[in-house]
Amino acid sequence: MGMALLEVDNIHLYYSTSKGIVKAVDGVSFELEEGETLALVGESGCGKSTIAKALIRLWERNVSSVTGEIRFEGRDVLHISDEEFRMQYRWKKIAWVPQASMNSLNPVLTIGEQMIEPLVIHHDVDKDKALMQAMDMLEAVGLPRDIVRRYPHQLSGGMKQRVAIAMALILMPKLVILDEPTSALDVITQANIMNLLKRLRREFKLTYIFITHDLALASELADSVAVMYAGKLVEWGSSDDIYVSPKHPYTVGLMGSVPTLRGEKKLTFMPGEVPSLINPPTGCRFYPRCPYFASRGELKGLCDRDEPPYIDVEHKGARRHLVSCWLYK
Amino acid sequence: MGLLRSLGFRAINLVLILIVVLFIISYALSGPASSVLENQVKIEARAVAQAVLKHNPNAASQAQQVYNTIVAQLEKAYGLDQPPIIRTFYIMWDMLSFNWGYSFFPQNYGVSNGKVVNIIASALPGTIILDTLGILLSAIIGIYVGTRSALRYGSLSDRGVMYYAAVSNGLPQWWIGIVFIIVFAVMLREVHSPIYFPFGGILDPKYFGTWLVNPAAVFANVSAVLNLLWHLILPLLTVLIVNIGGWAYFARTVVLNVAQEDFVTVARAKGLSENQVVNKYIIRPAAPAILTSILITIPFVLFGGFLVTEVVFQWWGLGYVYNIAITAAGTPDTPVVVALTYASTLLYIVIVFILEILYIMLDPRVREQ
Repeated sequence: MGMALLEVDNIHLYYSTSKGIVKAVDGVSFELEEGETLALVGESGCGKSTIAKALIRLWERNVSSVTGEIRFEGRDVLHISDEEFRMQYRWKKIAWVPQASMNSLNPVLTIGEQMIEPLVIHHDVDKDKALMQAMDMLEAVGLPRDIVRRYPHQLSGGMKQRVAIAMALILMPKLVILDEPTSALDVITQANIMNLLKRLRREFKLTYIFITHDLALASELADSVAVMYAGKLVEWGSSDDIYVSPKHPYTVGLMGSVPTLRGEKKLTFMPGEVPSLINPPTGCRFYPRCPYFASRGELKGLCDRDEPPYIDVEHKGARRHLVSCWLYK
Repeated sequence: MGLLRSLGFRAINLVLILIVVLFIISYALSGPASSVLENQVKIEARAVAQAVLKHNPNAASQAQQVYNTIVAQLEKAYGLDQPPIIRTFYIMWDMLSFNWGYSFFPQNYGVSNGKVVNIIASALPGTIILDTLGILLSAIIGIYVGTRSALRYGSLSDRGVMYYAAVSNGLPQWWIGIVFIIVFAVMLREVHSPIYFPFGGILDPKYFGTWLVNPAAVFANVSAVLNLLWHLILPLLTVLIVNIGGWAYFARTVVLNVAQEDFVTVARAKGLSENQVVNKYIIRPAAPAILTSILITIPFVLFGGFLVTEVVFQWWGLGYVYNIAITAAGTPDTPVVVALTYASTLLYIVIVFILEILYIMLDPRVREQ
């Protein structure tokens, strides 16, 4: 493997609300090689989308503090000026595809107008040329070229998502952040989009961060998987390791709750709910829901008191397999 | 092409609404109007019959015959022998061709010959100056303030604007008008201030006569225009103070809603400058919603607050004339009331149509496919 394209180093992102400080992301670190696809997996509210927002530096206005480092090609991009980040990194190097919702496109502008803006701003391309490039990109994502003159409401959900992907690729960015890109689509469209993402990755040598709550879907695309729980990374490794032998009880639980079409698999579910991020449990944040903590007496006084370190467990894949759990100490 | 077609549909739609409104007014009117007319006819016929009797006291049957003939002839001439539905269409035609008849009490308006068209024509410029200008100015200022406020959400100025909006929404327009007259017309005179404002009216008496017959002539005279502006300040301020808050509040809500849409975040992520994001991705998509609210509020603003404000300031506009027509004579001045209702509906429809054109230009989603 070459040099890391992206290194996220001990990042914290806190929101201030009327109820107190919400520790949405609390000390997360991971890295990403060029051409690698990382799946960031977790339940809603675990902080995975907040990490995406931190990577493009577009957090909500009630953020109280952002600390840590985000290094892109070896350079810290979290502490450079807004203007420099806007002109040098936004869309040029880091693009973002939001959730496949009805409102990722501006309803009153044509598809073409919205797609060419980055070209005009960053590359100073004239409008006609930019439109040609937009049409090429639409073709690459499997859409007809004349869509540039249409408005978003004239497209279906799947088409809009393809437009959002085409728009993300228009400046040939190094890193594309896909924030639940298929969660609002039906399964057929979802499969089409996943195949499209695979093809584009091959064609344009893209690096993806694929944010999802769906472990099964992530397995389609991911080279490595990072599992988040309550603002913390609980497990991170190559997908070969994570899917074959998940270590953290939370990951095991997630795997157990994925339904399969065939076979007599009994669905398991995790008792309890995601803890408050204002007053998270001390020690391991998962212990109140952990089946091992409930059944093994020797863990009492450990998991609920001390935060577990990252433990390097045996791995077969290219990445180290790190798990934050006292079971493996 | 789609734009023209949908505009065509809107126009047909509005014309249909106008015809329906007109039909309802005319049908309702065909009853009272014909009884008024029948009485008139009978009075005239009786006068002729009495003249005949005076001439020849023994010709009672002849007089009765003359009376009957005259009544029949006049009823035929006025169309009173027609069934009500036909009369309704006569009235509709007269309304459409601005043949609005004569006021019952012309002396109340000071407009010579008492023709309803002339009375309304004399009041229309006043309404346009105060109401139209008031609505436009308060909407522009209010939307601007509300948008700024939303973009500085939570700041001191934002909170200030919201307090002001809440207070101004609760204040009746006519009450503010009365307070203004007391403070800026009465009290300023009492303390011998060099600057004070009129108690009401649209112009000084020396110009008002000209205004009633030929407003254009007033605009040619600089001192008359200044006099008009001097009279306009208090009513316009009243209208602005009360209405800006509501617009600001509404615009702020809409802008706040749009500002949290995904496409705004995408626009920022694309590297657009903050100005471009605000103009193209927040204000542009918010515009149709704001326009919708203008469309909905205009009848309330027009027929509610403004009419009463005109009365408070004795401002010679449609609202003031409305008030005279209904209250001045003890019985309503039916021709004027009906014509005013029709004229304000017409005015409203014209405004709505202009806004519809704007709306279709702003929002591609409402265009016909």
